[in-house]
Amino acid sequence: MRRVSWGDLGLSAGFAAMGLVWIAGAREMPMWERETPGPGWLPLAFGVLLVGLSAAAALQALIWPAAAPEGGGSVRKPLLVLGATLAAVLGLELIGFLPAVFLMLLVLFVLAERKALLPSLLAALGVSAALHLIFVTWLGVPLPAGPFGG
Amino acid sequence: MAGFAAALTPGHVAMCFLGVLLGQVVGVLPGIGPSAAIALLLPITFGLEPTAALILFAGIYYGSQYGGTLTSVLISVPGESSTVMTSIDGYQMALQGRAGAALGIAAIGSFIAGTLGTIGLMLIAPPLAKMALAFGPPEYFSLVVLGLVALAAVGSSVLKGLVAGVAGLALGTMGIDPQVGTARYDFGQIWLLDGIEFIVLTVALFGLGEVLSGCADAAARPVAKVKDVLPTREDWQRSKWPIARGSVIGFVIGVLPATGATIASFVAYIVEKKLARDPSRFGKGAIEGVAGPEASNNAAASGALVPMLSLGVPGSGTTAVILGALIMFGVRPGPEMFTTNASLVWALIASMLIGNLILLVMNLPLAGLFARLLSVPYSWLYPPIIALCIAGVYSQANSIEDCWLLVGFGLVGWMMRRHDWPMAPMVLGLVLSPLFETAMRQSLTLSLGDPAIFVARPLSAGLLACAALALLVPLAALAWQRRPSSVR
Repeated sequence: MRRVSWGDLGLSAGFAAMGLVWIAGAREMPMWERETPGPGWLPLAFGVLLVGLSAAAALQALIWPAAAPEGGGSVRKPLLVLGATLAAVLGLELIGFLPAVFLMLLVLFVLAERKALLPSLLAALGVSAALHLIFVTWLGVPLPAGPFGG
Repeated sequence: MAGFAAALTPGHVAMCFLGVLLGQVVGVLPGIGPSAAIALLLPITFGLEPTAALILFAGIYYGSQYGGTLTSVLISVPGESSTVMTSIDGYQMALQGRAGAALGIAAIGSFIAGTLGTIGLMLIAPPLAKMALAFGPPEYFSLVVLGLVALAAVGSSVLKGLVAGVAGLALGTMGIDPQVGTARYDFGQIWLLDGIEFIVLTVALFGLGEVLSGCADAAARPVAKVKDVLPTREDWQRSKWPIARGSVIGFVIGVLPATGATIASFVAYIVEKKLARDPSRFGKGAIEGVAGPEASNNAAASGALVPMLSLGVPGSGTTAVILGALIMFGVRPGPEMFTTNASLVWALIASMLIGNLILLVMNLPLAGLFARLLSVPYSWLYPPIIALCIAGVYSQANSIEDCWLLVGFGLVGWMMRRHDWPMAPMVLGLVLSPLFETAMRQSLTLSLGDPAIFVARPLSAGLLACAALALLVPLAALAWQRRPSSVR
């Protein structure tokens, strides 16, 4: 059954909003200096194009609705995964890279995927250790150490 | 020969082996494609020299074509869109207990087509690049337009592709203006003065976005057994001409901007069905339906590198990511690559010949082993991928703010993937934005502000005409499909 794709409309609205931000920002910059476009000219052009094309995409979504239901199934798990990722990024400075990523992995294995605790613990430990080995030991990247160090 | 000498150094052979092995694995594993694999490896390859990194990335690119075949044949889930046609007859063969024969002929066909395609690349790319050496700023401007429009036209909706491409171009204007030093769209944040890094956007869209899109369906699937991968004499008789035809069709279609391996495999399948004495066998396990499309998609992968290496116009999402990686390594893809980075290009081409041989040797005896990877549940794979995304994005500038951008663009990537919006044009737009802006400003300075310069010069006008064609052909095809008589 054909139906309007709210996702397409939402994305079109998001890109159109971005276009408006670009137009507003460009108006505060010089547009044309002698025979050459100034720093605001191209962002303005991109903003106008983005608004126009997004409006056309929204119109397309309304006139020719999606032939099939939107793919991807439930949004519960992706939102849980996104939340865990967000928490891990928040924790990078607070508790350091290793504990933040270890906890994120554990939460994803145990809560999102309902895995048994012991294999989840081992997998989370193994992945965290491997990342430390690759990025800190091998590549010399100073990943956030946090209050626990290392 | 210098290319072979460079490609045959132990380090480069090791990179080639690692690349095709990783490509094979990501082609098989669910939820992670070659674009994501290259994006995730970018931070780890910072310390490598560009030739080694490019050999690794190209190996992942064409190796994944082999891996995608395994999932198409064994569980009827194409790992790559270019192996959709393979799944039609390949899966039927697997149901009849002939999965091994399907995979064997796919590996042999891919090897032959990949080798022929690479030879075609060696013959066509250098003269094309030489011709393009006459490019000035207006031609570069038109080339970027062609590249973006062509990539937008590859996806399911030209309009969505164009929106994504322009959004990428707009993101590319963030930070300090390269000509007069004005701060643009920094929103009062000092860290935004550097703009948005290619690696952050690529990992967010292709890494985190893909994970969020795939994690809802993370269960493992039952996998068919693989045995007897060497084709019989009859299999070979039936397959040799489809492989030859598929190689030619794939290469020619791959070279054209706005097409690619998916269309090439589709055309090859249709041609084989049309030429078959008994077309009714197709869809029921005809080996020609595997040999033709498989040869075609591998030849197209080589063909797509012709415009990328000689003009800087990528023919697919993965080549767009490789193009961005090249720029990150300080190599400017385009006509000058064959003169300023000749050793890199020839080493890459030689490594592709070696890589195809490695894939053949690896696939015939080890197809069963790779098939077992299919039974690894995605639920064990995606959490480590997210951890790698965070570490990779942080490591490129030791910046927590980039990790916030990762989450934000990851959400955008998930939405785009969920609603079938192409992501590659957005990445390409970001990568090509500085070149586009510089070329446009220089052109208008040359013409004293007259935009007619873009159509007054024949090469520039020709490139813009190609861009218009790339835009109009899919639109015309859509209008044709939607004409009143076609509605049942």
